[in-house]
Amino acid sequence: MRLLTLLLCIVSTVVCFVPPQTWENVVVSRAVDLSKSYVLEEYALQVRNIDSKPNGVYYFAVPNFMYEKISTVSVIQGKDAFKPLEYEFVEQSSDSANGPVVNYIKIQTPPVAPKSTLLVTVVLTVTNVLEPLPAKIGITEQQSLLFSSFKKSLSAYHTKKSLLKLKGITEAKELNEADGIKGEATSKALVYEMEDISPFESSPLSLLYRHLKPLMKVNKLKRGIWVSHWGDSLQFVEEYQTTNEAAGLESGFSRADYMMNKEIVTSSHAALALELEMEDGAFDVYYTDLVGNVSTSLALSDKIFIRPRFPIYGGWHYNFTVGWTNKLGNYLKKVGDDEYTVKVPLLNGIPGTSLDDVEVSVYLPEGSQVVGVESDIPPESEEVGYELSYFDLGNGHTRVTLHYSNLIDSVKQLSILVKYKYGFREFMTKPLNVAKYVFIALLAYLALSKVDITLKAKK
Amino acid sequence: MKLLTVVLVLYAGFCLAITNERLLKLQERSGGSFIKLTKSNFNEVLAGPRNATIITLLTATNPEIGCSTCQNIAPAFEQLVDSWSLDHPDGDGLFFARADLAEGHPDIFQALRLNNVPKLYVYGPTNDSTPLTEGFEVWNVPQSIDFVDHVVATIAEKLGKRVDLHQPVQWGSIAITVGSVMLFLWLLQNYSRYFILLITSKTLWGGFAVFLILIFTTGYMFNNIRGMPFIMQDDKGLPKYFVQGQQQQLGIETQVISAIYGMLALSVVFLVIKAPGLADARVRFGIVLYLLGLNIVLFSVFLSIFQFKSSGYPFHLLNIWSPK
Amino acid sequence: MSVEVSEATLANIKLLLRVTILFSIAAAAVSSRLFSVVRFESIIHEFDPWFNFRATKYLVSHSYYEFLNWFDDKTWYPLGRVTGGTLYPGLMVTAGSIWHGLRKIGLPVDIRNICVMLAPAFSGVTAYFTYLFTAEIKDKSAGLLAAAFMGIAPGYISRSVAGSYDNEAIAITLLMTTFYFWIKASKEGSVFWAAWAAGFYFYMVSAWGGYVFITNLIPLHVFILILMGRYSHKLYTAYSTWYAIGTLASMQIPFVGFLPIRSNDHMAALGVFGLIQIVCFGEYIRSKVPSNKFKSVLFVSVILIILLGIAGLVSLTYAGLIAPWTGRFYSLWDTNYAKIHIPIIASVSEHQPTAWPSFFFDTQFLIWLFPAGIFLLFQELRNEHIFVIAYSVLCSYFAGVMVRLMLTLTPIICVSAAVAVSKLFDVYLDFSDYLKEDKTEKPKDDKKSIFDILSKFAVVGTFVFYLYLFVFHCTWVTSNAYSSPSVVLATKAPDGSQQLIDDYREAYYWLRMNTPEDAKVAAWWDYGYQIGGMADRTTLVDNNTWNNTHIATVGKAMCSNEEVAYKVLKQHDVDYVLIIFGGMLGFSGDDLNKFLWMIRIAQGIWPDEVKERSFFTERGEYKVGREATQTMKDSLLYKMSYHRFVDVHMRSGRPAVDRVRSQVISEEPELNVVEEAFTSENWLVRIYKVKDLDNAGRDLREASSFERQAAAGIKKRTAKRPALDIRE
Repeated sequence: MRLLTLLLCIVSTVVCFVPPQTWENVVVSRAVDLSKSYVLEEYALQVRNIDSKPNGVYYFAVPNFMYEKISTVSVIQGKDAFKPLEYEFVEQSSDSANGPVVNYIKIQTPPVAPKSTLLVTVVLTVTNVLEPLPAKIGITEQQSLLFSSFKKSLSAYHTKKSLLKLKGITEAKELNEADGIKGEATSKALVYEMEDISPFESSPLSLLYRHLKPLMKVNKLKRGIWVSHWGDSLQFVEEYQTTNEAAGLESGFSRADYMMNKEIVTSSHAALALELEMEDGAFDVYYTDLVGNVSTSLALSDKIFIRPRFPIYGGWHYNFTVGWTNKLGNYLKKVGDDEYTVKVPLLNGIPGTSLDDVEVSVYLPEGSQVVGVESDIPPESEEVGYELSYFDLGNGHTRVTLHYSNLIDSVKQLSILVKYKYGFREFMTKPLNVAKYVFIALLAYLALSKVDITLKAKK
Repeated sequence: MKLLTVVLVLYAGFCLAITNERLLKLQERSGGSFIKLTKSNFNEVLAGPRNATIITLLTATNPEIGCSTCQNIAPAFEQLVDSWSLDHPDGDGLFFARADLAEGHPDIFQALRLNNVPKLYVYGPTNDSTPLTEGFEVWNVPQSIDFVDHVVATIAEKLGKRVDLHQPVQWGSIAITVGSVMLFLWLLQNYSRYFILLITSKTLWGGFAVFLILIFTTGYMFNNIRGMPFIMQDDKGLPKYFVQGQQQQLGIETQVISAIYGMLALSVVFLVIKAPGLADARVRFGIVLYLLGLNIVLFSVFLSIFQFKSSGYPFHLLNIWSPK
Repeated sequence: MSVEVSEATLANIKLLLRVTILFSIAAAAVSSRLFSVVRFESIIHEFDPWFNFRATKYLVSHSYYEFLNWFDDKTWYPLGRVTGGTLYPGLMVTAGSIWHGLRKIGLPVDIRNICVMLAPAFSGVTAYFTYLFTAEIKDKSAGLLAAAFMGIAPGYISRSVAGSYDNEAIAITLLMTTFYFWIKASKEGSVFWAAWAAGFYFYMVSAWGGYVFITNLIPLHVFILILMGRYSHKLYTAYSTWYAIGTLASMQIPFVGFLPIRSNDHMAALGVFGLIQIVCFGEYIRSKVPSNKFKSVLFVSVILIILLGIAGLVSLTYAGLIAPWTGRFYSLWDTNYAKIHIPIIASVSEHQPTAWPSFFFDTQFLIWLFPAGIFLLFQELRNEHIFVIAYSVLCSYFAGVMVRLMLTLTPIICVSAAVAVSKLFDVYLDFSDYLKEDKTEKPKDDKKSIFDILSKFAVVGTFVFYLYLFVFHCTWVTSNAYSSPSVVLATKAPDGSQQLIDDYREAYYWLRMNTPEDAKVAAWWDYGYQIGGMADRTTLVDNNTWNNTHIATVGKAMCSNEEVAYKVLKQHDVDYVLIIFGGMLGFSGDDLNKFLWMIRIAQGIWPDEVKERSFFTERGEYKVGREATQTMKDSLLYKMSYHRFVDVHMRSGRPAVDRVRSQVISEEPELNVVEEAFTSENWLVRIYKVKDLDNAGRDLREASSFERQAAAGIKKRTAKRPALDIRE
C-alpha cells in the first residue's frame, strides 16, 4: 500500500509527502459535535511506536476538504488541558490512491519508546462544512443539514480500532450506505465502530439530520475597545455583519404564513433573536444598526438578548452594532513608571457561531506609545495607527489593530495584552489644551466686542 | 292592404319620431338651452323613436324636499347645457332635458316611478317606439366629485362628443363693477378733500388691516377653498354652528371666532389706549375691571369652543358656555 | 431706603439681566425641542429631512465642487437627478461647516447628530434675532417677550424639533436675521447694515425656496413707503444696496441662476428698484427746480413708467423671455389653480388651507393679541411699523391658504403680540409713582392710588396667568403633536406602557440587507427619500416631484390591472414594489388612502387608460370591501394591499376588517405578476418582488394558476389516491 502511494506520488509530480510509518493507531476515537453552526471534532488517539527507536513526531492526517476549513486546533497530551503539545501545519500534502488529498498536522510528542503507547487528544473546529439540504424550503418546513465527512478515521498509519460518535443530531439519516457500515443509535449519539483500517483508507459519510436552529455566521466583526484613563472606563463597540447560512425560503417571506404558524417558526431555521455575551458588569449598553436605534433588546449585566428588526431567514443578512462600557480597573495594570498593560478579551460575541473576519482595535489614550502587543492566537496582521476622537487635538488616540480570520466563539476565553507608555504630561495635555482654546475664544470675543462699527457723521 | 299598412307604419313612424327640429323648437320654447319637461311635452320628448340623444336630469330643487345634491348641481347643470348650446346651436344630435319637481308636473316622476332624485337618464337614438320607461341608460350622479367634470367625461366616453365648458359671463357683476368704478371716480373728483382725509386715516387703515388679519386667521380662506357650508343641521334638524375636528370648520365659525378675537383684541387696545387716560379714578377702575372681565369671559368661552373642536385639549379657564 | 445707584451700574445690571434672560430663553427653546430625542432617539424625522441628511453625508464625504456637480443615479431611475444643481445647498453647507468646525476643535461629532440638533440650535439664534428685531420695533423689553414667545411657540417648533432637519430649520432664523438687518438699514440708511441684510438674504436664498417671500416683502415695504410719501435718501441707500448685492449674490446659487431677472416671482423687486431710482431722480430735480407744475409732471411720468413697466413685463412673459409664476407661487393666489392643474402640489397635506383651530393650536393667545398689536402699531406708524403691518397682512393670507406657511406667520405673530403685551405692561406694571420717596405733592384722594393699584394688579395678574397658561399650552402641544419622528410610531400598550412601531425601518432595513445593491424599488413618491436614505436602494420617484410624468407612471402601475402594471414595471426595470398598508394596524396615512391622488395624477397623463370614476361605486363612494368596483379590485395596489389579508383573519375566525376604512374584505385577491417578498411585523410596509418573465413563455397568470393547480394536486394525491396518468 505504501509503495503504491509512493509510486503515485512520483507519477503525479505533485510535491508530495508521506510520513514514515513509525506509528500505529491502537484506538482512534472521534467525537463530532454537530449541534452548533460549526463542527467540533475531538480525536482521542491512542498511538503506539512501532519503530525501533524512540519517536517524538506524529503526523495527524486531515483530508484536504476539511483542512481548508479548520478554524482552531488544540493538541494536548492525554486528556489534560494543561499539557499542550507543540504542533505545526505541514505544507506538503499527499495524494492517496482512492481517498482524498491528505494534509498533515505535525505533532511534537514527548519521546516515546518503541512499543510504548501514548494518548493524544486533538480538538479541531471546522467551519463552513454544514450545508442545508434541500437548500430552499418553505416557511413551515423543517430544515435538514448535510454533514459531509468520512466514516473510517483517515490516517497515515494503520489503525486497529476506530470509533466515530456523532453527537447533537436528531432524525439522522445516512445518504450513502454503500460501504455497509451501519451506525448504532444510542440516546446521545450515533456510533460507528470499525476495525483494521489501512493507511489512507477512507469511506465517505453523508449524513442528513434535522437542525431546527439557524446557522448564524459572522462575516465580519469590527471590534473597538476604547481605553480611557480620565473616564476610568473601557468602552466596547462591536460592529457585526452576519448571515444566516440556513436553508433559504422557497418563495418570498409571507408574513401571513409566519403569523399563522407562530409555534413552528419560533423553533425553526430562522433567527428571531440573538444572544450576545458581554463583559460582566457592563453598563451603558446600546444596540443599533445602520438606520438607528433598535428598541427590542434586553440587557443583563453580562449578556444582551437582541431581536433583529426582522426574522433572519436562510441567506439573509443582518448588520448591527452593540456597545457597552466596563470599569477600566479590572483590565488595567500599572507595570512601571508611566507604563501600563491593558488585558482585554479577544472576543465576546454570539455563542455557537463562527467568524470569518475579525478586526480588533484597541484605542489607547492620546499620546500613549505602544510598547508591545501579545495575543493568545497569533493575528494575521498587526498595525499601530492613530484615530481622531473627542478632544483630540494632536495625532489622536493611539490605535492597535489586530486582524484575525476564521475564528469561532469559543476563543473568547483568550485575550489580548497591550503594553504602553502613558506619562503624566500626556495625561494632562488634554485638559490643558481645552483650557487653552477656551481662553483664546474668550479673548477673541473680548477683542471683537471692542470693535466699534457704529456710523457717525464726521465732525 | 299591405301597401296601406306599410304606408301607415311609415307615416306613423314619421309622425311619432320626434325630429331634431322639433326638439330645438321645444328647447327654444323652454326659453334656453335645454328642454323643460312639462306635463304636456314629456311623453313626446322622451318616448321613441328619435334621432338624437337626450340627457335628462330628474331633480327636485324645492327646499321642502331637502335634496341638497339637487340644489348643488343645479348651477352646474345650467353651465353645462349653456356651454353645449353655445357651441352647437343646432343641437348636434345631443339635447338636454330637465324635469324639476319644483316646477310642478309630478306626473313625470310618477310615470317613471321615481322615488329618489337626482337621476340622470340618457335616451339614445332609436327607431323603435319605446315608451319613456324603457330605452334609457342611467348615469350616476356623483356626490363626491365635481358634477360637471364627471358628466363631460361621461359624454366624451360614451357618446364621443366633446363639451367645451364656458364660464358663464356674469353681466350683472360687470355692470355693478363698472357702475361702482364710475361712482367712485365721480366721488373722487367732487369730494377729493374728504377722500384724502379718508385714505390718510390711520384708524381706518388700522381697522382694515386688523379686519383682514382677523378673517384670514380664522379660516376665511379655508371656507373659500373648501367651499364649506355656512351652517349645518344636526340629526334633529337644529342648526349646528360648530363641527368637531381640528381640520374642519363651517362658514359661521369664521364669523364667531373672528368676532371673539376682535373683541379680545379690542379689550387689550382699550386697556392700553383709553383706560389710562380717563380722568375719574373710579370710572377708570370700573372700565379696567369691565374690560378685563370681558377679556376673561370671552377667552373662557373661546377655550371651551376650542376644547369642543379638538378633543383631548386639556386647558380651560371658566366653564361658562360651550357648544354641545 | 434710597440706595444711590449710578447710571452706569444700572446699565450694567440691565445688561446682565438681559443676557441671562436671553440665555434662558435660548435654553428653553432648545430643550423644548428635545422631546423627540428623549422619547424616541436621535433620529432624522419624516420625509424631506432624509434627503437632506443623505445629501449632507455626501457633502462631508466629498468636496464641495463634487457636491455641486453631484449627479444622483439612485433616484428617478432611469433618469437620475442632477442633485447638486437642483437643491438649496444652504442647509447642507451649514451642517457640513459645523461638522468640519467641530472636528477642528477636537469634537468629531457624528454628522447625524449634527443634523438632528441643527434645528433646535438655530431656534436659539432665532429667538435672539427676534429680540433684536422687536427691540427695533418697540423696545428691548418687548424684544425679550417676543424672543420668549418665539422660543416656545408651537407654530415654529412644529418645523424645528430635534430631527426635523429641513430647510425651514435654518430658514426662519435667516428670515428674522435678514428682516432685522433690513429694518436697521432702512432706519439708518446705512450701506453697512444693508450689506449685512443682503448677505443674510443670500444665505436665505441658498437655504430655502421661501426666500421669494423676502424678495417680495422688502420691495413691498419700500413701495408702500414711497406711496405714503415717506421716501428718503436713507431708504434709497438701503434698498439699492440690498437689491444690488442681494440679487447678484443670489444668482450664484446654481438652482437659482438667472431667475432673479427672468422670473415673475422676482419682478416686483426689480420694478421697485427701478422706481426708487426714478423717485430719487425726481427728488433731485425737484430740489433744483422749484415749480408746482413739476409735481404733476412727475406724477404723470411715474404712472406712465409703471404702466410701461407692467406692459413690458407682460409682453416679455408672453414672449417667453421671463418665466411665468411658478406653480406653487401661483397656487397661493388662485386657490383652485393647483387642484385643477397640478394635482401633485394639491396632494401634499401641508399645502392644504388652514382651519382656524390650527392657528390657535400653533400660537395660543398670541393669535388674538396679534391684531391688537397691529392696531397699536398703527398709533405710531413709524417706517418699520409699516413693514410689520405689511408682513402681517400678507402672511396671514398666505398662512390661511397653506398650512405650511403658518411657519412664516409665527414670527410676526410673536413680535406684534409681544408689542401688545409690552404696551400693556408699560401701563400697568409701572409702579414707579408709588415708589417715589418725595412727598412734596400729596395726592388729593387716597382712593386714586388704591383703585389704580388694584386695577394694575388685576390686569397684570390676569396676563401673567395667561402667559403661564401659554407655557403649558406650548409644552403640551409640542410634546403631543410635534415630537413624533413619523418614521417610528408610538402607541400605548394595553398596560399603558409605550410601544414603538418600527415597521418602516424594519422593511427599509430588510431591503438594504437582503436585496441586490442595484435593485430598483417602485414606491409612491412620499417614500422615495426614506428609501434612498434608509434602504439605500434606487427609487423611481421621490419627494422632489420634479417629473410629473414619472410619478404618474408609478401611479399608473399601482392603479392598473396586473397585466398593464406588469408591463409598466418591467419597462422601468423595477425589481421590487413597496407599499404602505395600514389596514392591519389602523394607520390611516397608507397608500390606499392616498390612492385617489395616484389615480388623479395618472389620469392627468393617460386620460384614456386611467379613469378616476371607475374607482367609485355607483353611489360615488370610495369603497374597498364587497362593494368595491371591479376596477378597484383589479388594481395592483388593491391586490398587493390585501394579499393574504383574508387568510390570516380566517384562521383566527375573525372577519377581515380593514381597520382604517372599517370595511370587511370578503375575498382574497389573486396575485400573479408579483410575489410577496417581505411584510413588516404590523403589515405596515409590504414589499413585493416583480416576477421574472416565465421560462415557458406563458404569461404569468397562466403560470401561477398552473402552479396553484399543481400545488392543489399534490395535496389531493397524498390525501386520496394516486394521480391518474393523463396519457392514454
